[in-house]
Amino acid sequence: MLRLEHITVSYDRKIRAVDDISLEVGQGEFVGIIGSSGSGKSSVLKSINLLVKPIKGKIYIDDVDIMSLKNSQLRAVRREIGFVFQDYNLIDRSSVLDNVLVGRLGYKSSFHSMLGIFTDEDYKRAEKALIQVGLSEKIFERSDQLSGGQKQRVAIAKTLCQSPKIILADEPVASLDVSTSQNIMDYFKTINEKKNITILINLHDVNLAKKYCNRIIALKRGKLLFDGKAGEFKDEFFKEIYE
Amino acid sequence: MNSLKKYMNNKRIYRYSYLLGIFIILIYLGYKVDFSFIRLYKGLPSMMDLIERVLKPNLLYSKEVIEKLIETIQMAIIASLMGLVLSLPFSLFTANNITPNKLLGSILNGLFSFLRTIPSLIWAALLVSIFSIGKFSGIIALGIIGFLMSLKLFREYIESIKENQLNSIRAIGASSIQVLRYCVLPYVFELSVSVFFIVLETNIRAAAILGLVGAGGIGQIMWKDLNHLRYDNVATIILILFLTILAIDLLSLFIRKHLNKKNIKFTDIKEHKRFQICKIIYMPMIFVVLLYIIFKSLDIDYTRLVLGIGQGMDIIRRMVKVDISYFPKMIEGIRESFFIAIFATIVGGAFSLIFSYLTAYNTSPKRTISLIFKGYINILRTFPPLITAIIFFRGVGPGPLAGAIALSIYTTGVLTKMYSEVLENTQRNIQDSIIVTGATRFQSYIHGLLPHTFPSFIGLLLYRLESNIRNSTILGVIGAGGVGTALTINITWRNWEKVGLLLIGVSIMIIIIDKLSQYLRKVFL
Repeated sequence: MLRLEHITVSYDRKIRAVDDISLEVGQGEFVGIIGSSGSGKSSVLKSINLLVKPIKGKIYIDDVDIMSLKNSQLRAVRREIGFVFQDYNLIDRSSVLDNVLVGRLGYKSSFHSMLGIFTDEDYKRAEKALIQVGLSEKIFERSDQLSGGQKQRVAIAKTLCQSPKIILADEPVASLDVSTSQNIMDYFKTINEKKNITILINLHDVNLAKKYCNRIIALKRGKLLFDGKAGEFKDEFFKEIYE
Repeated sequence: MNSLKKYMNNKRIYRYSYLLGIFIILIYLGYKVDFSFIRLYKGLPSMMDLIERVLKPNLLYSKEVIEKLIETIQMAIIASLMGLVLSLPFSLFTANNITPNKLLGSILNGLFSFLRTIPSLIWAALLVSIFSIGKFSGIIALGIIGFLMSLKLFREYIESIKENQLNSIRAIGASSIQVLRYCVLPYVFELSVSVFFIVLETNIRAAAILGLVGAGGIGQIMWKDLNHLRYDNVATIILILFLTILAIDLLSLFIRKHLNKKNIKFTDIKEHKRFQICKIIYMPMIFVVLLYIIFKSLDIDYTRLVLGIGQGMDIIRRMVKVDISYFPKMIEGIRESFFIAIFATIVGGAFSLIFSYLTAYNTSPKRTISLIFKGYINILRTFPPLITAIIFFRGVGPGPLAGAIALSIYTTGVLTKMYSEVLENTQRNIQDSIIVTGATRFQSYIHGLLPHTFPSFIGLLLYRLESNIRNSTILGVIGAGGVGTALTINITWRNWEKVGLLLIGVSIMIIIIDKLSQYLRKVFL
């Protein structure tokens, strides 16, 4: 369902953050992308929904070349791809509900969203999404009142509200403690298994990747170093990645 | 062992030579602004006399004052609102992370930073000669200042929104309008209340002096009383002004502090939805009512307005044809303003280092001393320097000295307040780490807090320099030195070609100083 062909990303046209990477990910896979900082993990993930534009290569989602799409068509693609950030990026001053409803924006006309009108259907989805991440009692809380783990769960609920086919998560647990990290990863796992949503997740903790993902992709200096089943990932690779 | 000693010695020599350098500069500047202890000493009796007379306010006069005061407050509030409302759409165009057109954004930014260099008093003086004497000119002048100030605050705030935050909305498939509505506006709306109060604090001070050029408000009667030597009346005005400004500052502080905590609690989703619909209905209504109030109180005479705009265009056309022959005069004035500003910044900086030690709770030897200084500092910084300059004017006569001292006092007040707050907000550990070695509180300030917070002090000092440069250009309006004297004379005589040259000169000086200060902040902080 997702295919990257010879993707190359460079921010200054000199150093290649991502260097000629090709990948194919099927429906319902849970892929962990690992690598040290600066290895190009974020750039790969961000190029999938074109937050970062590759200088070379092609990206296909359901066999549609998304780099050739017009702006409005690209937005239609983006609304089916959830993106979870390391630093949550919630609107601090708005309530949890407002933040989750933001996930419905891609489905709204400009006029309706300008006025802030959401349908009953939208509200139901938002409520359901919050129940799924176990935060239904915080629904009217201001989001800057929440803890880090709770904020990340709101961000996940937001992406669920998009009814996505793919969820991309850029180091979603990097600023959380060990048990909260596991808790968040559990939510991802459940979403992946129950809804058959494809998940690509950047992690710097190899153990977490081995524990939760079916497939591991390792990057080093923008190049693909390993791509295979989580069980096949050996400790030798580990050394090679981080040396 | 020896090398260590040498190292420390060298460091000390460096430090002392820096201090010596600053001291020499200060003496030079003192010479340039005609500083003399003898003159100050000789002027002391007449200043004391003035203060003595000021201490006997004529309370019977308050009724008249209150009337004008209400007009002043009204002017400040309306102008701040007007500026705020206008600046909102512009901020979306000028913030470089969300602007739809980068080129348009930078053109607008250039234009606005040029306009921002013109002080409110000069705006008022210009507008008075366009639209005739009265509060309309004053409101427009303050409106312009309010607009430029809030625009800058909004723009900086929007630019500080993280790229990822914007991306998180874009990643959902939102259009750029939706990004504005759901990512930028929630921040900006909440910010707008504090921006309003920040602007109001500035505008109320400015409104108090606009009367000097005939732009309405309390300054008008103050100027009249000053010229008639009715110091008892002046005292009443100053006292009432002081209380008003203090009240507005406190109100502003209170509201801004409690704003962050407010949040409407909903019990179920239906209620939330109802609230959203109410918002759709009420927000435009509030907006329209605000606009109506603004227009109503502007009291616009349309034939006069059209005439004024015609005159304004004419004036601008003449200003653009700058009178180059006036160049030497301009340089002379600008140099004097520059010297006054630097002098005030250095003197204010030196005093505020000492005062901050006595003012901050955590360094002050006694809590009562700290409280006394806090009150004292607040008095110093409440008055616009122009009013303080009037007092010194009586003592030391016209010329740059009165302006330099007035501005030094104002700088001391503001800087002490800011820096003592920095000291109070510094982690306790910094101070404790010195105290645990058995040092005194004073030593913990000199060796711990001061070096630790010195970069922030320099930052604040540079901000003060930027503000002082602006203030020093208007001191001349009352004859206290600098380019302002030439500026007001030429505005009164309608020598627009000369005014044009002076304004450009002032702008260039201010922009250079701003850039320099930005650069220094980047290098040292």
